[in-house]
Amino acid sequence: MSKLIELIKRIRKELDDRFDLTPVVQKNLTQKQVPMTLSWAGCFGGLAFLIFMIQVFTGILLLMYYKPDPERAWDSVTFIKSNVPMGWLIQRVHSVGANMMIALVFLHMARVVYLRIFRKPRELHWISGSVLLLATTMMAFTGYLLPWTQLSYWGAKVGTEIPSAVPLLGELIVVLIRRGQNISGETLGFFFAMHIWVLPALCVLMMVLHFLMIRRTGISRPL
Amino acid sequence: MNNNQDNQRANAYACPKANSPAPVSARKNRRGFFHVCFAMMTGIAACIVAFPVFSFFRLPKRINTARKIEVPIADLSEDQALFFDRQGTQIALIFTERQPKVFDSACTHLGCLVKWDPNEHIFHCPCHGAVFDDKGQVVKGPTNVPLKKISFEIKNNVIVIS
Repeated sequence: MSKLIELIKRIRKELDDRFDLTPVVQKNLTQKQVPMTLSWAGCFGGLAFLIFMIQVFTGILLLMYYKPDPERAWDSVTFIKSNVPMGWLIQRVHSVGANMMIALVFLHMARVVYLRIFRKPRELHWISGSVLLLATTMMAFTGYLLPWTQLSYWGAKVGTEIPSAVPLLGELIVVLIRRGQNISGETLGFFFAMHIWVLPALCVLMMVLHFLMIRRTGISRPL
Repeated sequence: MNNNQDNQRANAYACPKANSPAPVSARKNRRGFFHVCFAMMTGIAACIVAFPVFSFFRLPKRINTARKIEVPIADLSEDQALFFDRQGTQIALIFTERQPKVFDSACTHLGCLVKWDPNEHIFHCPCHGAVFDDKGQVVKGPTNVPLKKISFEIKNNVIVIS
């Protein structure tokens, strides 16, 4: 044990000799200073980010067995839940995590609205956050169809019906997001691509901007 | 005045002693104790996460359990050959002279999968031209090792390969 600690200390020293990392880690992580007035409610955004990481990780695990094909989607999810060791847990964490993430994103937004943090100089934080809220709900919606159950089929049917209320273009939008007149295998493939690549990539881009801007303007403090 | 005080409060940072030098023996004071507690809790949490994640990489039940191959003799016709996957190895079942025979269909030369020729009653290897007869014995070719026999049993006129 003490040899292990010695080894870690040595690796740390050698890295410090070259990159001087310890002050950077201390300033940004282990001894990061936050305003004394910050309440625990300031954690909602960070917790939403933590859940995003969990979703990415469990999502990659589920991807090893999931098949985005109407013939096999339901079977593959059942296989994950009943045959893969601990698959039931990974699948459940992924589905509960989606609900938790939406709840946390809304709590984060409620705090920002209530304390009026969105005002100058933080307007762009709000805008990137709005895009993140949309992307999060879209990820939850597209993910809901993937197990291809009755519930998810009709959920997607009702959900994709909503844009038909748009004047003139409504019907066209519905056909475009359904990839046809009805929910079919093409819808599943489209939702799958959105769910695992397009929306997460958009999320990561917006999160990088969101976090960099917070670093630049600093955490908001009450007047 | 009051406003000024609030400003001072807002500008104060938590953790005021963060920059003070670390004590010589961190284990002997309260902060050191909390460091150890925190490290232990992190370790326990890491184990709780690691266990299901590592379990997830074990083979699922379907792939892990041996599946029996069952062929009713009534379904076979004379000189017919059937090929199966038996847990990753390819096996060949042939039915000649009213007798079933089962072989590992990998050629004993370099492991290509042999083909059955029903007209000449031979296994023919497409890679280097080895030829085996219907008992697995070498007729011709770069190898002199016969095809590996696979044991099977017949229960109620059904061939069972476990």
